[in-house]
Amino acid sequence: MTNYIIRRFIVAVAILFASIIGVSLLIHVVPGDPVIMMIAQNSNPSPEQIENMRKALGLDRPVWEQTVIYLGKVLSGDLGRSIFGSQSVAMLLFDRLPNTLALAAAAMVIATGIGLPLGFFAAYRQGTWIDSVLMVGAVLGVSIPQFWLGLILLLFFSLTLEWLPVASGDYRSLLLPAVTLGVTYSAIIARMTRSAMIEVFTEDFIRTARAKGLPEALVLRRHALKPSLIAVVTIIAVVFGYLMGGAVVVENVFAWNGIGRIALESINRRDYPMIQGFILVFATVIVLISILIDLAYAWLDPRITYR
Amino acid sequence: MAATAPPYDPTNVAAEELPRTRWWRRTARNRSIWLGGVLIAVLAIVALLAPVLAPYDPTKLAAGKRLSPPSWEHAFGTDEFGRDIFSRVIHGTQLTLYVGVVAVGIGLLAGAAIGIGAGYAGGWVQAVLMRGVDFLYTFPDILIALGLVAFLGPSLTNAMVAVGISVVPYYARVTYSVVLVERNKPYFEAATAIGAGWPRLVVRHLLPNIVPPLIVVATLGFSAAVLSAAALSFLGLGAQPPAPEWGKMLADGRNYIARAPWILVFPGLAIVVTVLGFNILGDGIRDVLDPRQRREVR
Amino acid sequence: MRYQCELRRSLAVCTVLVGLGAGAAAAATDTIIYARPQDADSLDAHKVSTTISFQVMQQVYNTLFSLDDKGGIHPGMAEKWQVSDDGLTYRFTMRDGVMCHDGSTFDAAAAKWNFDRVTSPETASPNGSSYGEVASTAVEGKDLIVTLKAAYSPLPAFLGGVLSIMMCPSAIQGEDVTAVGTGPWKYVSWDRNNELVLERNEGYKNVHPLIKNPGAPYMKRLVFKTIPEGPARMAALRSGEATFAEPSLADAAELKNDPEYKVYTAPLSGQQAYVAFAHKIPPFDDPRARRAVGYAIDRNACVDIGFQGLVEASACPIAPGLVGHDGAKCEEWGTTYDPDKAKEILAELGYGLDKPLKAIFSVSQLQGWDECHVIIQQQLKEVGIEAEIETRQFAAWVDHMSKVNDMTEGTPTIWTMGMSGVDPDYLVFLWQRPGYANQGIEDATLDGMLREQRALTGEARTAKLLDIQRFLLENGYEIPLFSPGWFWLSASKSNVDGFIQIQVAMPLFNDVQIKE
Repeated sequence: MTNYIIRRFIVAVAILFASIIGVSLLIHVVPGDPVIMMIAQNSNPSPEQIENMRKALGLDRPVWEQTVIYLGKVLSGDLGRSIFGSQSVAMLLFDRLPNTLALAAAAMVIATGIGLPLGFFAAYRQGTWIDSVLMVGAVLGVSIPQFWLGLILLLFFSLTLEWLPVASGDYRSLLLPAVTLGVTYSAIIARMTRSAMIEVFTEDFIRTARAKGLPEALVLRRHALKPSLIAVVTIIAVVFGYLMGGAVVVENVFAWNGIGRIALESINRRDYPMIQGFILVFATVIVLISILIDLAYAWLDPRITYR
Repeated sequence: MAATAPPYDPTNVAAEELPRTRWWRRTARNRSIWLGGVLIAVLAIVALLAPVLAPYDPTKLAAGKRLSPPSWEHAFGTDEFGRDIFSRVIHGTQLTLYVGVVAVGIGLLAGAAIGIGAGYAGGWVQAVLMRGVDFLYTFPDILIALGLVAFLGPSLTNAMVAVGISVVPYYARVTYSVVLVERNKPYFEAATAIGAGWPRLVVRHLLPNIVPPLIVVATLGFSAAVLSAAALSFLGLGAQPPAPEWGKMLADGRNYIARAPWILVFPGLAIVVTVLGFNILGDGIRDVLDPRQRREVR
Repeated sequence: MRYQCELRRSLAVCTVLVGLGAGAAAAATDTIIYARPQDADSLDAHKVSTTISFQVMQQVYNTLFSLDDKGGIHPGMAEKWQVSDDGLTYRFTMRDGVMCHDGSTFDAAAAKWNFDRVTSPETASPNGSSYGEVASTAVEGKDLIVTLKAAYSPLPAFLGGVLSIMMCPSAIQGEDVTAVGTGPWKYVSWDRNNELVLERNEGYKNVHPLIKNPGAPYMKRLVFKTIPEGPARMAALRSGEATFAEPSLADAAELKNDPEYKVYTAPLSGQQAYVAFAHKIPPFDDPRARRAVGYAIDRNACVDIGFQGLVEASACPIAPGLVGHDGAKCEEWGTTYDPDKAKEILAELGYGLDKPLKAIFSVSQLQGWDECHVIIQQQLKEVGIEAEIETRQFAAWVDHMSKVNDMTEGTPTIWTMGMSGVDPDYLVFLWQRPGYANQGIEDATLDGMLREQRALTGEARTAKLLDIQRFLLENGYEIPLFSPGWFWLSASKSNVDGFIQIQVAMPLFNDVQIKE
């Protein structure tokens, strides 16, 4: 087990390193000069000015050297400064990360709150009209673009009904983006839960338990609960990464102040230190979550041994 | 894709023998295939006949009064330029299907090539290719697409390419898993032993096994690609004006949603219908090709 | 009211409370909330140059001089100036008792620190070149002495505009900026992309000729709030969540006719929008091709449809209200809408509706402009120019254009651009090589004229500025479109009084009061 965890962490670190290297290579392959974007917006820099600037930012060094320097800095917790406004990348991202996590968590609560019971119910009543209705609803749910759903909700709740303020910056502005994300992912969770549960219900030990004449409630509690939990953990793990990706888009629809907005802004401006920092932080979160899920998995299912 | 659903990943499906008998009968009986198929067929016809079906030039300014609500002259109303939204939605079907085909095509071809390459070559080639695929798999694909299009520059073409690249890992994984299974079968070893060249092996033995799962992934992946591309256009990183791309139409109409909600409603519904069509069709095909595995697996 | 539900409570409870607390609470009556689509980049006055950043910095920092609505120069942090006969040495006398927010005095040494930092190559300030070619600076008692390498008559006017705002030296500590200035508002806090809070500078003494209030602002706090979505900003304005909001064009057009609201359109903006060309790439290396584009464009359509009549058509390279702007003359030298003439010229060059000229229309994203671009695209199409729109975010656009403008072959490229200032000297910045985004023109006559106007004053300078504009228009280097055009619109309810906008669309809040 310990060995497994250690190996898991090594893989995680490898992924993070790969993302740093990948991004810095990509950045240097593509056209777009951050120095020009930075100072040429309202001035005509002389070639010397551009050169000085490039030196000051360390952009005159070879790519591998820049990458090594960046890696060194990352290890000491320094993600550099943004090209626009010269702010500490680490500070800004960690300042905003809780907002994104809060959005993702709220959306996850909504998604699982709706998706799990419905999926479970559909599986339990497999083949009935309830199952059909629920699954039609679910396929519709995964077919709605989040940015559109978001706009519709905004139009309806903020502009027409005037129930929700548009930019209070507190929990109330969390509601709409969380619902937007939650609804789509609840459909996905419902679909996944249903298939997983159908499998559980057809397992031999459940059939045996039923055949023995155990009361249905007891069958569900004693025999179906644990394998279901495992399935649920898997589903949450799968969905969480996607939900984080969705959050990046939805944040921009609702002006929710998380790292997704920073991402789009810095991508638009080619603010390289910011983009690099964002990808690193995002990858770290995803990798950490997947490790946590793995551990939960191991804890839930004694059959799984990790070597 | 990450904008909504993780696509169906039939890694496990591919590892099993697919019963080939009477698949057509199951197809004919499958309601999802019928429903999805009809929806897609209608969309395809609309796309092909767009110039005939659309009552107005989709880019013509002031075809009607600006921001006028749906009426007999303008079924879906007009936008901020007085362009006919109905005509724009109709023409948008062309763009959307085109984007889907190209993006899925890129994902499919590159993914299959990587999967076959890795599975066949083994050794360090396999390690490098599949670790790379696993690495990309870590990230939600909308993020990969977002990053790529930021570097490539905003245009519909670049958005298609970016979305296509972002879904390569799915196709690569599916292909790879099939190749692994086939490789270990006796016939494969026998064929290799009698000196059958690998192009022959790929064409005769691998492809027939790879195609069915890929069809499922591609159909469901089509809807995901459409959603991703629309999201990119919505964020201003895709289609350029005056293209009647649905995501872009939504983005442009945002400032007018309070006074002209129809600007928001119809392009959005068009996206929903298209994506829904492919999702239903994909579900149906999966059921037919894989009756024992009617589940959502990763 | 606003925080009646805490996070620890369940979401369900929150929903109910939100439902009950319908309609957001109005802003406190001693606070001004200004809702804008974007946030400032930074508060380092020497490092940023965007209007959106300056609109905040204008509140916190001050300039050496101030300008009235005719462009007349009045005292600011400096009392007066003298210039040597050769125009090379300026002596600025500082006003007594100008205090920084941290209690230090803003004196000649502080002004010198600003001059030195902003013109230092290391700072790479976007605004550095507008200070002229500074050779040296020195302090003599209350005076700052600036020596130039070449005469630069617009310097005092420039020092009255927001581009030259000066920070207190204590604002910069290493890489960190704390907005310490001498302005009417003090910096309190900044939650990026959300809100930037300022409070009034109690000890403020006003000398600006356009501000009536002699002392500290009437209102206690000034909050810049970032709300990207137009409908959301409107909702905030309607509900009272915001005192001022930048309305979307559609909303502004409606509010204008609503007695309950006021719409402000920055009369002194000094902003000018124009179409330009990658003028080294054929066929736009030929003045005829450029002018054909000019004849194809109906700038009034942009103004009326794209901007809903909230800007004015302007045919001059120099913005309305600035020295040297002369609409009648510019129309005579330049092009006005005449599609037949455009077709005629294009036919001469071998293009037509059946053999269209294919071009890229490279633009950056901004409200009103997006609409205008689609209109121009349509107009060009009607005369046989197929222009494909390529939209980029501003910084990426500048980078892209810097490359395209340097090329001598490639896809013909048309682009749009806007420039603002308090003095038409920005023509140098735009057109003298390398020029803005490398658009500079290689022409000795133009170079000479641009240089000469810097040394001239009064009528002579005006005449020279007209000559420059004539050159630009007759050669079709730029097709002026409209003025103003970016971050110029504001709206408030009609019970809000005293809001003014000075040069470069800078808002001032000193006189703002809200009637009950």
